[in-house]
Amino acid sequence: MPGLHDSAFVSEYGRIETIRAARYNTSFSLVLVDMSGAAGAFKLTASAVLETVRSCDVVGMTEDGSLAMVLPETDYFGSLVTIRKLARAVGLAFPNRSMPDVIISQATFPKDGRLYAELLSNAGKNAAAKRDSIWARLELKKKIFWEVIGELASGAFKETENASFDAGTGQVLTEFFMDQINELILKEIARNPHKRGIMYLAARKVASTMPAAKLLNSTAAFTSKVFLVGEADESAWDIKNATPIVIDDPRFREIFFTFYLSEDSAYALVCKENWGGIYSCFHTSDTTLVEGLIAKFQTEYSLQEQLG
Amino acid sequence: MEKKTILIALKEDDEAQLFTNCLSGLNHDLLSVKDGGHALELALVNLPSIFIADIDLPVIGGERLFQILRSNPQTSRIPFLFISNSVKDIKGFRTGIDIFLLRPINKEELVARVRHTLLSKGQASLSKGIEGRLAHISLADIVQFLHMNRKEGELRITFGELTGVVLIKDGEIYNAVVSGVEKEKALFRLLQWDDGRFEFIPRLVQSARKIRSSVGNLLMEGMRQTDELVRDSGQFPSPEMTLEAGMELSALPKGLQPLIYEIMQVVGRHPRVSEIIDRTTYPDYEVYKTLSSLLARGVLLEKKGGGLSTPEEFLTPAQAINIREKILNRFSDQHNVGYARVLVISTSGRLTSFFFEMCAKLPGFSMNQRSAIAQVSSDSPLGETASLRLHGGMDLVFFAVPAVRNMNPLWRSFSANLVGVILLWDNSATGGLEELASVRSAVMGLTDVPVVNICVSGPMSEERKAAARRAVGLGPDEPLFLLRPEETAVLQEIFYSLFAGIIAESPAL
Repeated sequence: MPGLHDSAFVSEYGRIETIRAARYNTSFSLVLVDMSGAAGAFKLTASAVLETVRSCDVVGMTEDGSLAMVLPETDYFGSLVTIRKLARAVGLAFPNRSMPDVIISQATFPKDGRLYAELLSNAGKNAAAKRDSIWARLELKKKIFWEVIGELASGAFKETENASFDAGTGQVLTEFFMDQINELILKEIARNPHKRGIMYLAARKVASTMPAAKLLNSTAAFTSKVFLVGEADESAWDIKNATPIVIDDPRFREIFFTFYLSEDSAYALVCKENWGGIYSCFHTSDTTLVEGLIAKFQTEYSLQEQLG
Repeated sequence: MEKKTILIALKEDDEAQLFTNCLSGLNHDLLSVKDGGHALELALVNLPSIFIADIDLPVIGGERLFQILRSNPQTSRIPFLFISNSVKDIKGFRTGIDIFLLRPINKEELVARVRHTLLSKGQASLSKGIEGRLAHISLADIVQFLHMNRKEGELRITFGELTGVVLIKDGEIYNAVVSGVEKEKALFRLLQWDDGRFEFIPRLVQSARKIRSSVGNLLMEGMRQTDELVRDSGQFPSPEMTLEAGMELSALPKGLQPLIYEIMQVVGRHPRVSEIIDRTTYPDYEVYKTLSSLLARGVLLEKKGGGLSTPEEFLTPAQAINIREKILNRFSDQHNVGYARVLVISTSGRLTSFFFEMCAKLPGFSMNQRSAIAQVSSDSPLGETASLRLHGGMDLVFFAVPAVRNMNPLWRSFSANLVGVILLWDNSATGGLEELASVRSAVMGLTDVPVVNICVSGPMSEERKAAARRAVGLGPDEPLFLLRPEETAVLQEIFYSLFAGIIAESPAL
């Protein structure tokens, strides 16, 4: 188990890691555990964190009392997996008490900066964004997946710049709007074939005739993972570059969604059909919300926990 | 030592006499002829242990003789010693077996080379060879087998018209030769062959060691490069593409990979990618990868198809390089910036389509036609709709978004590599101007990229122009372009304005 270092040590180590990563053209991540809302639970939280991280990771205090972790050779998705593990470990450390308000955020070299101070600052900004996220404000973490979807699709919440209901106010949104959004995301994936990412596209019926399938079939292989969710016919298995997830659930006939998470983008679209083939849609670019939706969907449908 | 036969085919009597005198001391049978026809006849009858041939023989030339005898199983192993006045690339030449000497001939060297050849051939005959098909056992397996048994000799691989040779001594790979290339480059090419015949001929290997890596490392690296070459081939420049240098060799900074300098030297004389690949000394995958990278950085440029008319350039190469460099400077992760994005925020889909139709006249501009819902995408463009090939493989991607406040999450999410924003509206968009102003302010609040404002309209009075500026919230110094269908000159001005904004120094996003 790695020890807990002081802020001078972890800063110096982070600085050296930036030089090393720049020299060898690799990435590394900085994870920040903000414990300002966990008064009195510091010791238990810190020991849960230290038990979870790898022996190569370096953990230390920052000057404002947070825990900073330098994760060598860890890319964006690796750091997200670490955050999931840390959140789980902290939850388990408080079995009989309510979990302390711990915000775990990250920043990755070189995407979020090439200097340690930049990374620390961006991890701090990400922590603030997490705190402001709809996910935290509506306490969606405590609700089940379809409850969350229902809440988002009803528009019963205060909209923000990065999360809005009725995506096309003043526009008539037909089924084609969803097709356009799915095409847009698939083109993004094809534009960056080597970048990791994950996309869940839930439709009424997964078949080789769906518009997204046509684009998937004509695109060269890429690293991102695309999952097509819903009822499927035999032709679904012929779609290239995607994996069908066959789920016979009537809710997929009423509500359609697309979740997309990559190093550069986070986007979720949830659409509910109204009368006459017109849709009400919620969409968001809130990374915390998108990641939370993906995690909930994976957990509740017993899918493999993966992030790109 | 048993007596062997040396066949000398030289057209000049004096030279033939000189060779006979020199080689007579070796105590072997010497046969001398003056033309290729007789030489072929004697070779087939006497099966010489070495064939000394003038490249410029009458009747049948030395190179043709070599190819005829190589194709005959009886004579295919006869080593050749070529004599020539100038350097010549001989197809099928086997380094380590055949010898090439330039006139004037050094007598001592001649005798030493012939003696060595005869000696090694004598040794080789003591052992028995191995042969088979690569379809049954891969080259990597054969090499490993020879390595583990510490064999010495020549591994010859034939695939169609091509022949490659791997020289092995004490189980280690000393050199590899194929199609005029040698060392690791040749070995890695041979590792890609999955069919053909191989033959191991045990003999003394006396040539210098040119490959220093261990067999394990070579095979691992060779297989990796082979796999990656196949995987990435779609992204590499095609072998038929012709290139030119985008800058002087002397302008390159010092301390770059040596391969870069080598490529820049070769590209002047041999612009075709296939020629560059063949004439550089590094393995093919490394050369392809470096070529891709140099193209992407604008150090190399694609030559517009030989003989085809080139489109009118609206950016000089120097300007294009400058734009590209400034774009790269905006991002902290420069290695992953293969494209830059420009948001096109418009009050209607019709306007966006009109704008892109006009842009289609610009050189390098193309519409992204791939859509399963083409009609919808054409009427209301959304997302990546068009691109402008800027320079050396870098695309400026145009990402269309409607000017609707509730669409903000869309551009917020897909704004990676953002370098500019184009705002589009027309006179009929009075209701949408408020939304456009709101989106404009949100974009400008989040990023620091140049914004180009375009109103699709005929000539306007100053008063109306001022009203339009106010409606969108333009500052007094911000230019407003009036675009009309028939005026393409304005379009160029719009792009120059966008590029000028990109070139202007600004902090990373």
